[in-house]
Amino acid sequence: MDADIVLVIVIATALAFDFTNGFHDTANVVATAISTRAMPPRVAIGLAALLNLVGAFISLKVAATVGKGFVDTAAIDTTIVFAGLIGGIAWNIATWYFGLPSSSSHALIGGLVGAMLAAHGTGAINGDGLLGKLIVPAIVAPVLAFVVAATAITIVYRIVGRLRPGPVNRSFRLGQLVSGGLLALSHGTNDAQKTMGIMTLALIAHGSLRAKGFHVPLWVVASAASAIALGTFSGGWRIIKTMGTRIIKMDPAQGFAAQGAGAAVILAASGAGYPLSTTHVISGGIMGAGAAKRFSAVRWGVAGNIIGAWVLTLPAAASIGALAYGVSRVFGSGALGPLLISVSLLMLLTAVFARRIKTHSPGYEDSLAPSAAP
Amino acid sequence: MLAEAVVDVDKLVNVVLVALLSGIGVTTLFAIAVFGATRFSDQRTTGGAALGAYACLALVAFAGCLASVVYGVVLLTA
Repeated sequence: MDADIVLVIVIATALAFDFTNGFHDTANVVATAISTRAMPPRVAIGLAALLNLVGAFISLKVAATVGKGFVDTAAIDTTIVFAGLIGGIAWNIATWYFGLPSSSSHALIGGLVGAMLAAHGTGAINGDGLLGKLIVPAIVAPVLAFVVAATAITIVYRIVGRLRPGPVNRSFRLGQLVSGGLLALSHGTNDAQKTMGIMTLALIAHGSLRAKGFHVPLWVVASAASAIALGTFSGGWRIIKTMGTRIIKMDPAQGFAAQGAGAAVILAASGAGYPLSTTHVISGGIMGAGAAKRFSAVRWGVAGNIIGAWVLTLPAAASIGALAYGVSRVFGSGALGPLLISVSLLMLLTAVFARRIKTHSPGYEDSLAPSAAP
Repeated sequence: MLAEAVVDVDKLVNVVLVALLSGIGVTTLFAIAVFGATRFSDQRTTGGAALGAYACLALVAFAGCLASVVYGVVLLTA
């Protein structure tokens, strides 16, 4: 009975994490399209939510990597998965509150690894998997997006540079309908699958699924897809407000190149099963498109923040995950620990949201742009 | 040696190549389509021998761009 209650708490927490992931990342997906006026904000957000939903159904390779690539599935239990999720969510809230560019994906995996370390020590951690499937791709992907976007926009300017700007801008705005759509699709493909992987891991730990073969049930896919799409849709309204007060200067060709680069890198990585930080990849694309036009236009401080976040996220989320596991175990192996932690987290969330709304300061999405009009 | 043992280099290189090729390729094809369409539109009133060539260029580049995107998504779902 207790195991069933913990499983329900874990699934609910995972879906809540997925919702916050969509909520948190809407800005990255739609900011470029809105800033170049390729799409009205409401259309951009609606389209992003829909394509996030579709993208989540495309592939399951990333879910398999998250589910069996980093920890020993034979040693996992639902409390470990729960504590891992708490590590990811708590770090996401903290970085959101302080406006740091965090990666939800790295936070989630960091939390899981931390909880597993606290439960079983280093023996249950797949260090090779962490390095080869998470850390190295995490370093390569944003740099790759930067290079792709910078090269692409340089070629574009060579081709269309001497044409009248009016028709060229109109054409690239139209093109952004496709590139923006692809970016939203790629976001759904990579990010929703991480939650699917965690939910499947919880089902394996509970004994509802067998570890052999790693099969993601359809209801897991559908619920994770819906949660991220709903989060994207909900998060968007905050972005409309942000965009209304702070206009990002970027021409439609740059927007097209940045979105295309982000989508290309995320889709290629999803096909290979690499769980990337979509935030970092899209930031890399935007910076590349900006730097190719005018190097000084890019807010290089953001790049520094990203590197700082890279270094901090895994250990910080892992520490919180380990702590959550420890606190949970104080109350025994039943459902009481996870229940108390969930209630505490909900109370903390309410307090943080209330405080944040009261003293709103510019978020990470405000600092993403290559340059901003006053 | 250690890095090679831990990182699947072939897979990673494949991701890098696919991203470079598709990201730069599709954007370039679209830019060529825009170039052809804009030149076609500019010269439509005056006419000229190159008119057909620009229209063809725009159509072929646009079709290539669209086909690349569809092929990429199909590959991913396969």
